[in-house]
Amino acid sequence: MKIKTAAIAAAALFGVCAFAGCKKTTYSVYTNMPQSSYTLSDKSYKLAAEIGGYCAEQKQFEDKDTSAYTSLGRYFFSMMADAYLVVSDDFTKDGAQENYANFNKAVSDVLNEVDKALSSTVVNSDVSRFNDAAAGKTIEIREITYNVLSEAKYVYNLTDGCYNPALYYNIQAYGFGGAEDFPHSESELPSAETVAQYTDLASHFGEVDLSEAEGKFYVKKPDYTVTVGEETLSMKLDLGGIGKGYAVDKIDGLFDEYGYEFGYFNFGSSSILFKSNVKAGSWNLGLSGPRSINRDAYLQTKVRGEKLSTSGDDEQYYKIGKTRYCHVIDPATGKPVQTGIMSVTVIGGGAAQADALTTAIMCMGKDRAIEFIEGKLTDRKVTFTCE
Amino acid sequence: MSLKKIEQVKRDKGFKIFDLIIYGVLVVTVAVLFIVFFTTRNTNPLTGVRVFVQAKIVFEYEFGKEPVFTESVTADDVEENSSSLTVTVRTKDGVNVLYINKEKKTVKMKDADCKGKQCLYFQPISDNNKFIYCSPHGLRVEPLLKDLDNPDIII
Repeated sequence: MKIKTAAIAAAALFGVCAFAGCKKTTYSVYTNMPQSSYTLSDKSYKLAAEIGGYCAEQKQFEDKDTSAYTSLGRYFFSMMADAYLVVSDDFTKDGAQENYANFNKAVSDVLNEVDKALSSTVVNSDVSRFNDAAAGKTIEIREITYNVLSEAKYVYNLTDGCYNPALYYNIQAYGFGGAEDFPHSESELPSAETVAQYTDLASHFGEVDLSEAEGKFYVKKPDYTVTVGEETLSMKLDLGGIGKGYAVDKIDGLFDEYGYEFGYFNFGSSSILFKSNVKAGSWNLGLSGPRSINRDAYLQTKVRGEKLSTSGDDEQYYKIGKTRYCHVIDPATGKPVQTGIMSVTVIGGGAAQADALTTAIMCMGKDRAIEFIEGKLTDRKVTFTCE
Repeated sequence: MSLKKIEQVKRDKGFKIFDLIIYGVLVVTVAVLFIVFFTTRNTNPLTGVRVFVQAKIVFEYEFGKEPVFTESVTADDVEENSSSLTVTVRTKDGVNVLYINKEKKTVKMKDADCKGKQCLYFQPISDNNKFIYCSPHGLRVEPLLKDLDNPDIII
């Protein structure tokens, strides 16, 4: 009888698992792209609303004879993420190999410079020196860091603080940004008081003061500090949410400088530059469904001569109980974002700003995000998905 | 043991078949999962390799085709037989020796004259997701990706 009971229990368990596997969750898609420019290709994703306001002009491209072109690809490694570069050209023509080698070196130099300037894990990077400096101190920084901080402050103001790169302690407390380990239970999560202190400190990001004198660049750290336990903490930065986009902007310039019209540069799949495709002109871009196992595309559109940034809660996350903790921190709560927005993609404009904007929109929640996109992002293509 | 119990055990013999069915279902399930995993995973078999020195192409080989030589790596630098190619790449900083196994379709570094010989510790390239890099000589061996022009991109 025991075996019989076990068999029935196993069959029931199998049935429940099969039912759970078959049960489909439907997600909502919001976009400001005109309906003619995209298709929804996964039935799990339903268009919830077309947001008004998109009016960017499409660039015109001349047809070019590319019959002699071949494509070369190579990986680059940076502290922020792996990158992949594809360039198409007639590599048999005089000087083409030399030009390609120089171009690769220039790309590598940009990535190294960005690491040296912006990585919080590289010793003596500008960001590390800022983080180690005492409150109120002014330090000299590279032009790259100055530019990125300027962009960060612009998006911080544009989004009313929904993008905030000063949430360093919150990111670390929740186990992201190079922290040693994730919390494994609720008791290992930071206390509400601690989170409130970290968030209060970050809310003073607007006081970060940038200046330029005689070709040198400076940043002054805010005077404000908080005390957590017995420690007095001054502001620390994590520019991971904007640095990759900045590198993509610089490499876009290198494509033009070295005369390459065809190819793409993918920096960690979160910031991508699309030049023209040598076969088809445009790239058939598929945005893969957040939280989907097979990574099939839920939306397809064409891109050419544009930069893209995307953020989602499906790359870096963990679950405690039924709560999902992802790497994007909401500046309003100081905790991993719980607004229901699962992913955001911004196409067009500068990639550094787009990189920061995707993070900000994730933190806004659906209604505020729609209002923001309609009011302030009328020159970019924005798509986001909700639970 | 009472007679009643003995009779019960005898009656229960029939359930042994049921046991076998459960075991059978488990074995079949494991086998099916195993087969599905190995037939559906994206293995990206290696089609060839391209060798770069300081981002400049110096040698290219596609399995089943003739090697592509350059000024830096000529036919004299390649020893070929029916099952393998041994390619000597001379850079301004030193020498690397590459071994291409035609039958297994794998590529590995056989020798290098730099101090650390780090490139010898790279796993052989057996699919499109691996590479070998020699930092002191600026030499990079990458899979020959044939589909870089494909306009379909999913991120």
